[in-house]
Amino acid sequence: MTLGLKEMWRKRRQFGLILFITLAIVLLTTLITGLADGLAYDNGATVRELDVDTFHLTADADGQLTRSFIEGTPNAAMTPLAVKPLTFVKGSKQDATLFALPKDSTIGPALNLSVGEVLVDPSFLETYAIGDTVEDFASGYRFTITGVTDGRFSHGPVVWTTMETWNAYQKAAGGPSYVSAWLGDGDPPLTKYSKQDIIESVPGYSAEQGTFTMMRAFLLVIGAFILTAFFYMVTLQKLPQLGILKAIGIRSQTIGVALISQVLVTVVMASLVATFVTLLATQIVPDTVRFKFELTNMTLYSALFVIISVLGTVLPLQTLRRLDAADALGGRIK
Amino acid sequence: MKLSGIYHAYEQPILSGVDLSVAPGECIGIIGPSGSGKSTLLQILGLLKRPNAGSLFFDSVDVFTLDEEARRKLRLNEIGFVFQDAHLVPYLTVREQLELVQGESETEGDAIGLLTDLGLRHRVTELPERLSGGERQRVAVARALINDPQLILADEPTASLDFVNGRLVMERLADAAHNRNKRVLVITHDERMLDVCDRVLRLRDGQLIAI
Repeated sequence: MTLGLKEMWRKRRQFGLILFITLAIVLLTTLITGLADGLAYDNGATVRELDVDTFHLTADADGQLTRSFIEGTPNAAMTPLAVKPLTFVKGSKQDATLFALPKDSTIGPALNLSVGEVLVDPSFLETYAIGDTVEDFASGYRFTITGVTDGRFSHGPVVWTTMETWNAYQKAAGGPSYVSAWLGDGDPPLTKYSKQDIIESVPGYSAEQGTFTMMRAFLLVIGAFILTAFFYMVTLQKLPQLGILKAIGIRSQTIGVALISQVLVTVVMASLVATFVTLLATQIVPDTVRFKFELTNMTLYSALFVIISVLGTVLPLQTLRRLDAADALGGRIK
Repeated sequence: MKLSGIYHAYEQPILSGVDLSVAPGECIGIIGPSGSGKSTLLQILGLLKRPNAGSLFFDSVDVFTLDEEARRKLRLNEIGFVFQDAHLVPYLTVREQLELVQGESETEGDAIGLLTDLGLRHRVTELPERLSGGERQRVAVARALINDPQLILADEPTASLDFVNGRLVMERLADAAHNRNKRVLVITHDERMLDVCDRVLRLRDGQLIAI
């Protein structure tokens, strides 16, 4: 391993260039991951943060909370959740999604609210302020903003309230009394979904994330190809020297470990720097750009990069294995 | 070390029944025109090529009956190579060139002492690019000697050097035979260098002939 590290250190310019290009590719991957995670958060953070794993919706809702209308009480031991997109008005209009849970529920944020009161996502306060009374554009029902709690759904802010307020709102709206889902374990005559199913059913979520996943997959493959090509070329350039080493009895394993250590050091360094730069980017990108640093995903994609890159050493390692040391004598390795 | 009845052919026979015994402390020069089979002979002696027929005995063991790994260990521990262009690892210092070979065989030869004997004490921390051609070749000789091998094989060791430096390298090789009791085989085109050898053989028509 020290053989590989010594070569990297003493040929800093050559390996610095390889590191720089690897860094550019890994950084592109981590930045795209940051954007994907930002949009994922913007689309389904409120659902993701609910402390429940099982959702029961009507079969025709296809897993979309805003399409599910359940009347009656399927199971008293379960928790109702109401979700509805609304347009709020007070001078200007603001779209948001209303989420409601029972006041004493611990599944969502603490909702110590009186009837008519709501907690809003901080982005909602770009239009309104705490203490404002805002009106539902369709029904005219009035909500009072009493506090802030983080919540995003379908790329918009979430407004949290209690089921009491939800029921009062429905009365004012004049529609049938319903909830969107029943949460928790039970066997109601509804269709059961996991939390991940619900998130992936948010309109646009799967298409968005699928696009980003494909971009990352292409980047991983292209990055691995580039890195493989670099190290393959470096190996080809060194063939006479490697042939000599094999001729004098140095094990192929020693030379192979040197190569793998160089790939590992290059990719791990690039991943660490890229992760750090991505973390810095969260401070730099404007609020209008949905960008989020999720250490789990950064680690996952960095680890994938490392694994794919190490797999990419198979080609130069094969070349090394096939190298006939006999050609080293007589100078026939070109 | 004994070579017995070595026969090897590519499209035509190139070695036809080569016999050779090298005693400890003996330095042998081998000459011959291009294409006479010198490199093939060296590859066979260096355990890098298996001949079509014949045997090579090291300590009474026919090395071509050994598997590849055993032959590699034999190359590492019992054969020292000196190549035409030194072929040092460009990113290792003089001392590290020797330590690489030592590390692989886990031997504890005195690298500094050997380099001192070869007049390289003051160059141990230098990279090959900062050495003269003669110094590089002397490092190659040190690398060949560090594991205390039985046999030193030198393939045109003076071809890239001027006469003075070539002479110095040849003297070091002869010194390895005479003062370190090594078997030394030197293939060269430069007949001016052969006077340091105890015996000179010419490879002609696939056979070694004493001259």
